[in-house]
Amino acid sequence: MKNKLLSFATYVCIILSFCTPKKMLSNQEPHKNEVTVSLSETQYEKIPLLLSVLGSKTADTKLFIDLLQHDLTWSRQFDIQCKDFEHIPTKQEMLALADQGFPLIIFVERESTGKNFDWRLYDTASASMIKGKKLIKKGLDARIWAHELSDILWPILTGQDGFFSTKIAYCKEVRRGKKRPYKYLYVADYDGNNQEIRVPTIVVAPRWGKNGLLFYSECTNSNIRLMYIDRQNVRHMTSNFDGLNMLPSFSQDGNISVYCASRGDGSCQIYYCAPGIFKQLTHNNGNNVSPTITADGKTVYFCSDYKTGKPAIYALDIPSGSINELIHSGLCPYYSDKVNKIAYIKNIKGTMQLCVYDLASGKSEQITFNAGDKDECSWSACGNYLVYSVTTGCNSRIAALNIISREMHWLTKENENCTYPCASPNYGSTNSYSTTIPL
Amino acid sequence: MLLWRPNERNKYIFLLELIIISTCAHGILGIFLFILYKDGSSSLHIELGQSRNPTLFVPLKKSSMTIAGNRSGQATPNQKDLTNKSYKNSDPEKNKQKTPSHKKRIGSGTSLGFAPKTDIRKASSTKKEANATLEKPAIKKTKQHKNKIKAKKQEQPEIKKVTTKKNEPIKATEEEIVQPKKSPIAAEQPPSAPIENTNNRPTEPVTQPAPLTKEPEQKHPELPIGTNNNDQQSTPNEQKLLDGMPMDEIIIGHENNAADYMNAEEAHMHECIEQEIMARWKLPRGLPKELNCQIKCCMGADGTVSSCTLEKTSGVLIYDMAARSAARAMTLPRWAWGKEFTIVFKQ
Repeated sequence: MKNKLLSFATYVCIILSFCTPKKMLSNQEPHKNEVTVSLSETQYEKIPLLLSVLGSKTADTKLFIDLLQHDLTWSRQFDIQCKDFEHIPTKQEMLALADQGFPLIIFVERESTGKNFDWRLYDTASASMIKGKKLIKKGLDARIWAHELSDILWPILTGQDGFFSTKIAYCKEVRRGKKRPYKYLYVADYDGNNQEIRVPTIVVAPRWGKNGLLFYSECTNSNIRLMYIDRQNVRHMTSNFDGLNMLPSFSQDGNISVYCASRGDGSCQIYYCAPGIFKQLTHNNGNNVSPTITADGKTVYFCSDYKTGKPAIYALDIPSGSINELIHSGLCPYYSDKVNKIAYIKNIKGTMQLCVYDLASGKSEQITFNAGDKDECSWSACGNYLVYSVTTGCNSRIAALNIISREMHWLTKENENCTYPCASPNYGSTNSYSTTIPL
Repeated sequence: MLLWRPNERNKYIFLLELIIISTCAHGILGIFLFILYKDGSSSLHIELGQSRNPTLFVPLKKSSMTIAGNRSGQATPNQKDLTNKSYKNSDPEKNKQKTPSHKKRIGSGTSLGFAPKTDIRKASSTKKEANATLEKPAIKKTKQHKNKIKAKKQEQPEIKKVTTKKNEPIKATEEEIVQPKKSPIAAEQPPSAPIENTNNRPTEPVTQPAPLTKEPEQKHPELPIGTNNNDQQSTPNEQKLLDGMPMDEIIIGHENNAADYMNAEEAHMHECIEQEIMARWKLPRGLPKELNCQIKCCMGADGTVSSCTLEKTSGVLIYDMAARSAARAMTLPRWAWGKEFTIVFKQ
């Protein structure tokens, strides 16, 4: 019996000795059939996307779909095609659409009550719904519904924040007969459409505050005062010191703000405002302008010529009061907490070009290379676009540039003279703004 | 069963135990084969018929080649000398019996069986008659070489005796090896046997070489299977190294060749897949460059992708969609049929 057991044990051991090395080797090489593909030369192509209306199509639905198509096509990342269905296609029909080259379908259906829209995003290859929600109509303007749905779809599709509900404020030169032209404050959609006049006075340098408040500097006979206009188009005074009062910048919570004012001294200084606090941050003989504050309200980046007589960009630490030079030569800094970068203007070979300074790496990168002097840049809410003005000759236009793809969109017409663009935050996003107004 | 005789009972019990043990053992083997190692989709399948895949040649290391060359069973004048030394004291009849089988075992590259001795002798005799004149220069060379060796040996100390196994060629030293030209007649002749006239036809008188002094038989490591025995070129330096190398090191070199072949094959597979993907993968503009996703593709029996599953998402839907579309449109040759691949898409 013992011999038999021994023979059985040896037989098992022999089998194990053949099998375990193979198993060990297979465990040591778990990813034998894993292939890593790295794109060396990227080929670009728009993603085909099908936009479909289910059921009956009313006039407002049609307008809504057209505007939605315009929104999703504007970034030049999607190729949107429209096709109507009576009902949601079957799995086989979905697979057929996938074979035709449509990986995604957006279904929009108007509710019978007419108050809501139901939308669904489908993956055609698996014939499964990715996401679907009810969109409540706000107001009577179809643009608002379209922009809102675009803001909802954009993060799902691209992983980036939406920007379709944001606005752009700028100054537009208006001529009244043979009189001197005046610069009026205009507000338009993200793409430059739907322009509307907001302040029909001589206005420069608009800046967006919280809850849709629009700050601007108004020229008077005695000074340039800082004003703001609310959503009800009521104008309020913010700062009325002698001399210049311009370019406010706000922290994320809206409780802290900085702006530049000369107060009749001849040199412009940076001032700090918080609940119960008003203090001067810079004390030098130079001109300190264009302050931009970080989201936490602890650091201010501004342009000054106090050291060398030439404009440079400095970083001021508010708690300690220390000032450090950040960029040796630059103008109009604008900080984005979304990407932690500063956009600024720099003279390169006689042309003012747009540059971006990365605070994380400490490196600057030139963004624009074409002709035309760039001025007054500002970041979009999503951190992917830079809005700036381009002056060629006597005329100035406003453009939006995608920082990743470097694609440019003109926001104003060629025959219009527009300056001082400023992109608003996305007031429909989760960013919270305090209702208190500083100063 | 209890009423059976004890012997019969014990016999049947023994048989029963044998059956139980064998079934258990086979059951364990079956578990390992069919359950634990069930995933055979990653293993290469055997193809019968014409293969459309390019054949990858990975050069073998020189060391193994030189060993095979020196250990060739094809008789050459040099090998004659070597074998003459080893078998100098043995009976010529025994040598006749040993050498043909020794030749056939190592000398032929593809044949594994042993040819009958009568056929070998007939072939050698016919070739001898046809090319009798060609033997003379070779014989002269061997005589000259032997004389040289004798002269050197008188100066050198005696070599120690080393026992040799049956049918093993002698390990030659650097000084003794001379690389002659190949001759078909010499390959078929027994290396140690003197020239024989098996036929009754009259031939020219041939002087036989002088009897060599006694030399000890030395052990030689066996050649690994599949080595090329036709390469007889080895430099003196390599031969020195070979002489000093233990057997384990030589065999390890042979294993590395197999690993290199597998790596080259995998590289070819990866390159094919990468080329297919690169031709089909198109991204929209404006996406960050640090995105990457993993897609698992199962190839069907016709070279197209039967199923595509997203294993690791990049976080961007359109990036995943573009990668999946590229993977679905992929077509691969036969070596990929029935296999699974995990493709990582990076920018």
